[in-house]
Amino acid sequence: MNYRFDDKIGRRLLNAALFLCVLLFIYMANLTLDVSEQFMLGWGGVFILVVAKRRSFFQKPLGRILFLVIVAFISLRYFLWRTFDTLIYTGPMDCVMMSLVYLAELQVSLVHYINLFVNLWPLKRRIAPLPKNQSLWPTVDIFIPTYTEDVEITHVTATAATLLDYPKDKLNVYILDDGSSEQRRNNPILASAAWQRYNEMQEMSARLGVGYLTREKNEHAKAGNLNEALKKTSGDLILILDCDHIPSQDFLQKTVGWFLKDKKLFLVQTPHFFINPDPLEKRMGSFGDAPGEHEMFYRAGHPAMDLWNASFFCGSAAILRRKFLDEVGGIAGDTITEDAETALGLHGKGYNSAFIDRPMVCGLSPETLEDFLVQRTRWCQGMLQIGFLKNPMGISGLSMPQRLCYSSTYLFWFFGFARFLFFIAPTLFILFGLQIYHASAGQILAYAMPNLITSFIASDYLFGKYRWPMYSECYEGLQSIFLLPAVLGVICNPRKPTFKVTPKGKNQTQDMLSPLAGPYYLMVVIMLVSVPVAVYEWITYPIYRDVILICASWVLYNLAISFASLGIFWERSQIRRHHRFPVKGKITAFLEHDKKIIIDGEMMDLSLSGIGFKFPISDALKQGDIVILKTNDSRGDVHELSAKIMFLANRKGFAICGCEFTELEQRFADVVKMVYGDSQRWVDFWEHGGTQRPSALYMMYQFIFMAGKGAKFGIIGMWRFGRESLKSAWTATAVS
Amino acid sequence: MSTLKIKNAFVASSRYFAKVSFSVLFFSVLLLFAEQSLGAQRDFFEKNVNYKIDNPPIKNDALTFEQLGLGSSIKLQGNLAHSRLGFGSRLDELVTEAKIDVIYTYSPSLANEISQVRVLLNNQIAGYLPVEQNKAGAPVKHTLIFDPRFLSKYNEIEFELIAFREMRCATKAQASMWLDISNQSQLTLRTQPLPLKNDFSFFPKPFLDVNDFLPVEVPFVFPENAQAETLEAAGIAASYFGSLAKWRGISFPVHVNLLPQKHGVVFATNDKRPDFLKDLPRVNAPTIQLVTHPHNAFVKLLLVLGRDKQDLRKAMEALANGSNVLAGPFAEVTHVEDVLPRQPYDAPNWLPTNRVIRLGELIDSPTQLQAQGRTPRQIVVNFNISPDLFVWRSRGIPLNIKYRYSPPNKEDDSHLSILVNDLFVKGFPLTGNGVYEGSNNDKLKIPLVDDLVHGVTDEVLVPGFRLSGKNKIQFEYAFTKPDSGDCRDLTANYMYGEIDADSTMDLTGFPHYMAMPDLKAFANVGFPFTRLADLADTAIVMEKEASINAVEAYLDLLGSFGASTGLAATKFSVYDSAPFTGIENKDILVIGLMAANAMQESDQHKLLNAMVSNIKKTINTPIRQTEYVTLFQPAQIKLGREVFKQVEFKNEGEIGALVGFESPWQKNKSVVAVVASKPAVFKKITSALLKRSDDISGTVSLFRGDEIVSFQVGETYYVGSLPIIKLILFELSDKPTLLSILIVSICALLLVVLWKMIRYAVYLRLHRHK
Repeated sequence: MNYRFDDKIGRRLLNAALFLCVLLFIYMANLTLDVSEQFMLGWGGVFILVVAKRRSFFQKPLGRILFLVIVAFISLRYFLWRTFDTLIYTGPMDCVMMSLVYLAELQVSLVHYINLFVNLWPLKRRIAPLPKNQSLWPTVDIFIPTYTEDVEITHVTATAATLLDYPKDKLNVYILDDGSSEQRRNNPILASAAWQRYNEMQEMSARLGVGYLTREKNEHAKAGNLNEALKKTSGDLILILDCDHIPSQDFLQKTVGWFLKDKKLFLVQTPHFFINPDPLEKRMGSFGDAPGEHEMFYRAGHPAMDLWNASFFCGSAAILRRKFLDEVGGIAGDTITEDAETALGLHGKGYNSAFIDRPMVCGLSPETLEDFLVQRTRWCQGMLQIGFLKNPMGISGLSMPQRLCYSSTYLFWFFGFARFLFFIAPTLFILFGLQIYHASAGQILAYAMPNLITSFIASDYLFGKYRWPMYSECYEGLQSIFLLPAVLGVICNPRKPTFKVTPKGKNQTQDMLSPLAGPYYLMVVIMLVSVPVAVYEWITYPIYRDVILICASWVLYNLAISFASLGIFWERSQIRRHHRFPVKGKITAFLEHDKKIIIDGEMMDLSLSGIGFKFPISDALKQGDIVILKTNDSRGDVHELSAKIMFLANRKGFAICGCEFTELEQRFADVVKMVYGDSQRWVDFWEHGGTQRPSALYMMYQFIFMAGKGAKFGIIGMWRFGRESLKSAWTATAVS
Repeated sequence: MSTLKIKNAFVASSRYFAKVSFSVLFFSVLLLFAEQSLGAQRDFFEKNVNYKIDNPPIKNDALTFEQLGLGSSIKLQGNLAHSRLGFGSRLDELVTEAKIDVIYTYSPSLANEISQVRVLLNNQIAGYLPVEQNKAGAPVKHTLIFDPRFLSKYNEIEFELIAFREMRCATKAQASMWLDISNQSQLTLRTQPLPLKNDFSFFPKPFLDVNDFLPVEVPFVFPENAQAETLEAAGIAASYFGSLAKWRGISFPVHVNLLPQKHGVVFATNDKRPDFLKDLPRVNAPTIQLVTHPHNAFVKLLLVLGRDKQDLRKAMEALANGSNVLAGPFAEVTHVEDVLPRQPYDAPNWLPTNRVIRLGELIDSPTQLQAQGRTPRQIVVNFNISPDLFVWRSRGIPLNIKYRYSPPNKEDDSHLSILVNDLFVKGFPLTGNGVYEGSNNDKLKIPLVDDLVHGVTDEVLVPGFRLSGKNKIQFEYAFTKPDSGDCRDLTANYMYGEIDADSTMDLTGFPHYMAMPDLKAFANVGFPFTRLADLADTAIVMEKEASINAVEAYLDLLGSFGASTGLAATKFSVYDSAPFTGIENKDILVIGLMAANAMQESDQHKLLNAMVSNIKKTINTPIRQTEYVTLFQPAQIKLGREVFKQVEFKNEGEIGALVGFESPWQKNKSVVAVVASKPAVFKKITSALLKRSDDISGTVSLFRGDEIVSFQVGETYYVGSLPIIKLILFELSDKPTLLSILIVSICALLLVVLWKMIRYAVYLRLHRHK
């Protein structure tokens, strides 16, 4: 292909043209129009976007750019108007709150604009096949860092790692156990547990034939752990897997090829796939229906950043090239998101990264709200640290788009601050009469409303496949109040936050009101209170009706969001050793004692402990029977395992059967291979959720339904919590 | 920003100081010379005195309150309500008797004997107006005689209503206690003229007395056939008096070779003099002299003398620039130092657009910003705005108002209302401690309204300042009357409200750019001629032997220019015959008869041709803005055509016209023609202009009988300049197709650039490694 811009002058010309266009564009967006003209312009734009959104032309590159340019124009007009026309000083308190709200909007807008650019055209990267000649293949070390997680979890992952399709002489698996370091084994409090873990781990490593590495001190958390292992090993490439990230067999086959193709490649990142719902999904009941929260980041964000060579290391399910890692002194450790920081450093050196959009690890989401928030707090603080300590705008060697990509990633994490302000802003006016947004109802209609709707349309256009409307609002709204202290903490002292491991695979043993509920409930109550106050003000101050109307609708919107996530605080018990996930495919079952009886059925769900399938109703199988199950996966491998029928029932014309693997311990590797070996399952799982996108109306209905459900659980939780506390208080007094 | 403002103020003030020091220096030199050559000149007039001072003519001046400036009757309501009325007395008159005939009407609720109107003259009790129950409800006339000893240069009459009801207490019944003083009430002054010394230290009194609020009339006396020599000097004089007369209205009756009955100005060269000055010694330099009227000891004449046209001009320029340093009866001008040339739009009466203005700059005395009483008079601040400010899509004029007031003793409905041009803008509650320092939050933004450049003004939501014309901001305090219950003491009625002189108004940042012709701007402020306050860019074309009416029209126009700018115009030139050198790059004001074609003989009849063809075009060709005009004024268009046919073909009717068009010599220069079919019609035109009649607008105004009809027709052109981007946008604003094409093409360009970029990026990421 002949590209005229593949030289310096051409590129400079292109940049100059872009700069000029952007200037003209901003100038046009800043033109003062009458409110009526702006009204036409804004709503006209919205109309065009609505009509254009589903047209095929707008799914092509040129159409996509046009669409995003229109979006940028509408929101830029709003933002410039907001900046130059609505910031008016009316008193100290007003001014402080107004500035804060404006800052919040600034954050949202900045992220929005940068995202419009970053997401111009997500790269569709194909998988590069490995050469026939295996001697050319690089050697690969697999690092499975673990800290306090169950040995059992690591066991599964390590087993899966040994099963990867790759020449055995070029593959080394290491468990990097930080949980039984010398430091911990010598610590009087931890010693016994650490010794026990140490022994179990060593025994397990020996059994699997994988390397076991531990170190003296737990310095620099995960980064330190990895760096220590880097010193002790020598493979060309390093695959890093969190201890709960079970790789499918084809992982290396589908990723290593790019390292051979691109000599400057330092990273191939793959998406994380989670087999269990996160706390919010659990409460909303959307798991498997709606795309998961992380999907937008991995499936939309990373391919988009990949175009600009800015897809970054996400800590796990990624392969790094040792040579380049050594050049920058291993994994970085200045921030608590060592992964992104390392990638930033290597990008700065001019090396490339790649993202392959195929889920090939299967991991676990945090189970409880608290764990979920621990994880998010770490991401938030870490990314903000990157912003403060390693400002991507200031680091040399990065291209402009790379700077923008990294900036948008860290700027995004200020959302805790922004969302929180959006929650309280309207109540400030209703309850305290603070004037924080100076605009007439007409201007709101002409500027703010089209902007708001445009931003919804835009995010639906860009990410609709990976995130349903309102989900972002729920997730971010829920996190906001808890991330706010984290944000402030980083702002005050960027070096302070320390690494906290996300607890995974924990089980909730009893129903309880999350201890975090307090502040969130308080916020909801304040919003609830402001509704009748708004009604009262509507009646008493007719001249302020437009403002009151605006604020009241804003509060209602906030309430809907917070209701939808309210139920999350009422956490119900869940005891399950292994997560089941839905699968498809044929399965054949033989009775162990009578191999002539063959039943052809369809798989329904699968987990490490067992399998569920359905078949035409027949009397052949009975509860308690031992059956041999035979199935093919998409790779063509045949799995044959024996299982005991634990459950049998007839539903909708089919017999439904639940079995438990009988030789789990003896044939663990085979079970792992059957359950986790085929990445096509994860692809199917994602596609199942993504492609059947219901209509907007249905999603709206569902959202309202969710809000109602959330409110219900929230109130039940409150009620029970109150009752329990009263009871215990009562008994306490009675005893004394 | 603030440093910039300070710097601007500094530059302005240093320029002012330079001017003042120049003129002081120059006139001190001038006076030295004057002393020496005084002899012969003074002697002449002392010899020729033939009048008596013994028996001065007594005069009775009756002025209605309306003439004294009361737009409507005085409405007094409630106990201690009061109102003031001012009048002045002239320097050259002695008031021997003063009385007022008050016509008033009052409420039947006012109790006999207890209620009354106290009348004070200059804070001295001057009497009272009785209230008798049986005359309630009908106008009553009462005469009060003032003691002339209490009169001074400026006098104030104060009416204070002392109102009680017979039944119990008055507080609950304030509304029923009203008294109304008609503005047809009369002030009668019996005056006796005073002989004044011939001394320039009084100047411009007695010709124009600032204590006299009535319209001013200054007769100008010319020798016969001396138009060429005297006209320019007379014009300077007219604009000089105009600049002093301000709002009073001024006119200049022309006398040719006749002595006036009033204080007047006489123009004469050595060769051409009125008969009564025949024997005056010849002068050798520009000379100004104050003399007594030969037949009336109480009337003064200002002689403007010289050898030729240039001398007269110099004499007048000197007087206009430095009257405040003159003394004695006589001055000879040796040379006139050029003061710094005026900058465009720097007329003293126009709001500067290069810096922020304090309201204090726009008033004469600090008390003008103060009001007292429970329902005090409006505080009014008047000002002119340059009519060519480009207000298209501008963001309005920020007003930062600070004010102080007597704090009401409890929070009540007392408030301050702000009005712009009689339309309410915003009210402020009066609470707290009585000081409102203003803050950015209450910066009012008053839009500038470009009224009727192209016809219909679209959606003006907030009252705005008008371009092209006089504007005022009004502040109205209203203090709630305390309801202190039955028979308890009322708090004092003297509530004060003041607008801080440091309140500011910000007119900076508007470019000057305007669609012409615009006769409204001409009528209101003399635009475009007054753009340079000294009229340096103005050429005035008169007929060769102009009629007295035409000369009067010329003088009146210059007087009104002076009133508009506040500065004597000294730099214009008058042409009455070929060659018209230098006229090419100036704005041209034509004053002449339609029938007369003095200019056609000249080699340059371009101007007249242009004018005639313009008028013809106006009338005969289809009109561009037909829709607008025919929609709203179909009848008048017809009328206009008829009128002009009449003008052209019969030339007999009494018809006049104001026509504006672009100069045939140079783009962006304007011509305004004041034409009349008969000399007498000029008076109609000028009086309409002086009244700033709203009927004058557009490009052509026709005067027939008492009717004025205006049209927006013919070619539009633009004067001034705009930043290029704004100009482009303005030009595009009424070409939506072009604008959208431009926007679309910018978007398309952006699209292509981004697209190329992406394709390049995809290539880089996926294919280059091969």
